[in-house]
Amino acid sequence: MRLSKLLPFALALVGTLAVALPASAAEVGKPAPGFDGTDSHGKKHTLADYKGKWLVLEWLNHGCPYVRKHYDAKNMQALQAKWTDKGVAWLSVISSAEGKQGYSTPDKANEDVKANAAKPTAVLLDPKGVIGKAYDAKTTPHMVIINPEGVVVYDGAIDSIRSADQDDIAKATPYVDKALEAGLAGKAIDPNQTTPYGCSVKYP
Amino acid sequence: MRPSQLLSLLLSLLLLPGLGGAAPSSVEASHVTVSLVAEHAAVAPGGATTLGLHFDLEPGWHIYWHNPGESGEPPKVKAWRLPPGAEAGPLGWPVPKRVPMGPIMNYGYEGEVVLTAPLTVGPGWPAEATVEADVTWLVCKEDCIPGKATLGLTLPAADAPQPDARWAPVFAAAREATPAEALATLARDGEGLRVTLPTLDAPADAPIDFLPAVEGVVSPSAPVTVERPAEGGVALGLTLAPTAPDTLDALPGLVVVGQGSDRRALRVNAVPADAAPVDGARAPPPPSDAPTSVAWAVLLAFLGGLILNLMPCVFPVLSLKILGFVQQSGEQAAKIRAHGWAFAGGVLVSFWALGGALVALRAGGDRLGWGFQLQSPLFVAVLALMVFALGLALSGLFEVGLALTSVGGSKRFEGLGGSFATGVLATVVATPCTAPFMGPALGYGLTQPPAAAMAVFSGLGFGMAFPYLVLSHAPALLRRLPRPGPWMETFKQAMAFPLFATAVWLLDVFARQAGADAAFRLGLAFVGVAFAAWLWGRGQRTGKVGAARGVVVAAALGVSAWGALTDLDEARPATAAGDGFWQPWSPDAVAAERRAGRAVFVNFTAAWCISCQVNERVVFRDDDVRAAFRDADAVALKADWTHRDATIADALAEHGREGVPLYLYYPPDPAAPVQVLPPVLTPAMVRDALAGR
Repeated sequence: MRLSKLLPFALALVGTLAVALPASAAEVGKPAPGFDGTDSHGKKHTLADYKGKWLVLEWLNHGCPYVRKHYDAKNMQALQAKWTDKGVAWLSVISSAEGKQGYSTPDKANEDVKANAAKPTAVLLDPKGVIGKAYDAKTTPHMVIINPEGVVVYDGAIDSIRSADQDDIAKATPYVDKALEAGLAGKAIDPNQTTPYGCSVKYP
Repeated sequence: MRPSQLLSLLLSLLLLPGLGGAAPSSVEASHVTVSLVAEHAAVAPGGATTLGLHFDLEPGWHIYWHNPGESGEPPKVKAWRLPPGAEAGPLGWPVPKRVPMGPIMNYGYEGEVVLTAPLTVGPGWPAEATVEADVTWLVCKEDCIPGKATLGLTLPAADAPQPDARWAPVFAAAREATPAEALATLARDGEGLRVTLPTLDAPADAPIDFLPAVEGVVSPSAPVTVERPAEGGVALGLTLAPTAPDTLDALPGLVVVGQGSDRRALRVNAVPADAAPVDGARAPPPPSDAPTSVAWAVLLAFLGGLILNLMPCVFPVLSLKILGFVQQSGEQAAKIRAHGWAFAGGVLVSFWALGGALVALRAGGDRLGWGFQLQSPLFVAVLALMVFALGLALSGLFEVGLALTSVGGSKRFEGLGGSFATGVLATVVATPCTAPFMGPALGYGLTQPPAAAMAVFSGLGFGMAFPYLVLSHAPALLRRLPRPGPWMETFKQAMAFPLFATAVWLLDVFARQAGADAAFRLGLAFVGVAFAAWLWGRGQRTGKVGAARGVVVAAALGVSAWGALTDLDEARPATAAGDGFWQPWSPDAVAAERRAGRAVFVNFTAAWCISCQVNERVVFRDDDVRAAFRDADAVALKADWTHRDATIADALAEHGREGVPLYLYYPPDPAAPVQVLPPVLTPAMVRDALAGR
């Protein structure tokens, strides 16, 4: 084959490869992966709904001792109340698969909100783990903060001490609280990426 | 929870120290029995023993290693209570295994495991001493159950230590199983890390794994790729965790070879090759990556090569080639094709030579990048003299490559050497210009094994030569070029001036590298070369190209070269005085400004990089751009790579580049990602970046 005949082929190849871009994942500093979820009242939530608002995603499993640590000590509820009062949206996401620990029907999720006096904006039910995997959620709790521009600005642990012991909450650096304080004040978030701790998310 | 377990848990909680009675040595908690044990039943005061936490797990349940992986929590001793003068050391951890939980990867233990702790027995060890430990753990299957207990053990004093019949063999086995240390080097590899064990000798079919001893650096759930380079040893490819720090001085971990009863582990602390102990400083054999990535890099390199033709530094030389084609347009197709391939050959051979030198030097531990040859004043001086001589030839002072201008020569393939030489020259002059697609491809290629790196260089060369190959194979296209005629002589002479300008620019680069004295000597060498060219040209015109003339010409060239090229001190510092706009770059400076919440613009440049210089003049001296910097309160930092500099080479490598230019913009929000601007800038691009658009 003459090289001149190869040219259109080469150009077609270049064009094909140029559009084969890598897939997205939650990454600090990058736009958050889109999601499309249903909450415990049957209402739809997408990332686009929260454009212009600060948004917190909290991975939740009420059977997990690390989640219990923060709910039994009322730490999680206090954070939810403090920040939703300031206009921050807070979505608790349950990515436990049916039959696994933490799996919730809509009724069960609503009961848990009531029993724990939790104050999230909504509880998203993600039994197929689609949202969890899009955000690469590893543990419960696993916390993600998204700014009004839709960019992930924090990804990681709720605080600095990896334990299931309530006594450690007061001693720990409250990463999420600090991140929201800094973020809403227009200041730099540091650290903006930590290793989440807790139980593994019970994916299908 | 079964009633019996509940009972034992309650009992263990009740039996706390001080509540009457010593703590139990063993508790049967949910799904695990935890015991405090010792290597000796009795210890000698002033001696030592080893304590152990023994976990006996129900089938299917596990506890965690000190790096638990992506979830979980390791067992901890919150507090030791020991007789006065005694001291317990840190916990020792047997080699763990991977424990996957769906897509989440953990490191831990199943079945039975003993975590050890060395104990120094003080001289005042009482006759009936007890040791106690407050222990916490997390035991998981699908679900997780945290546990805690206070465990106690009576350790009486004796004249000589008495091994415990039950536990002494367990401790002996644990000591026996302690992993040996192995040498390993660490290298960044784009989004990943490469840990190379040059001396590891593992059977070809044995699985090899890497377990990081630190959290948050290596992604536990990403697969570990294993490469066995021909030179021997093993290279492991790891994926960085999102929480990994920007710079990594060392990576401790376990390398596990084999499985089942053949499983053995080595303890490594992988450090960058230039920090590795000398006896292990064999060139790290880099593993190859997926062939698709190599193909991608070669394709990018090909595109980069194509674009290289349009770069300001290449055009004068290429004008020669274009002239050649015009000249040849009336000739036989076979001859034209031959010339096209000779030119391509010249380009390819030059890229291979440069690439080969670069790969070889890097294998020797030099941290070099693309354009390295221009960091050598000797190379710059020789290039300047060559370009100047070529300019003289084009302006008609003397003749070279006669075949290029001879029409209808008798020999069919004459002048192929000239086409080849043009290819070489075009490549050599092209190196300062890093074309947009070239940086990433070269950056990738150079982290690959030599064969893949050479493939990338071949792609680059082929891309650069491609338009000429197409032309030489498509006579129809050639016929569209202007007809040959007297205009060609004028055009050729005019093209001398870009070459003279190139020579002057190289003189400027040389002056920055080697100082004013050396630049003066190089200037004199220009005169010597001009004299030699004039003398030779006269001889050509009068037909008197005798031996005597040859000797004089050679002498003039020799003296010029000797005067210009000797006594060059490469270490002479550049006169780095800026115009007050740019501040010197360093990683610390970037970090400090970002912490202060300021936007940072970094300009990676070099005097020998002509596209950098074009950007410098057209963009960074632009009043509107400077105003945009002031408006954005952005700090302008310059990293000058005119001289060799390992820190700058590392920073370029971090952004996947092997050469300059590289322009980075860090927005004021430290959480925002760094923006990489294209290598060919316009004032608007910089203004937009600064304005956050």
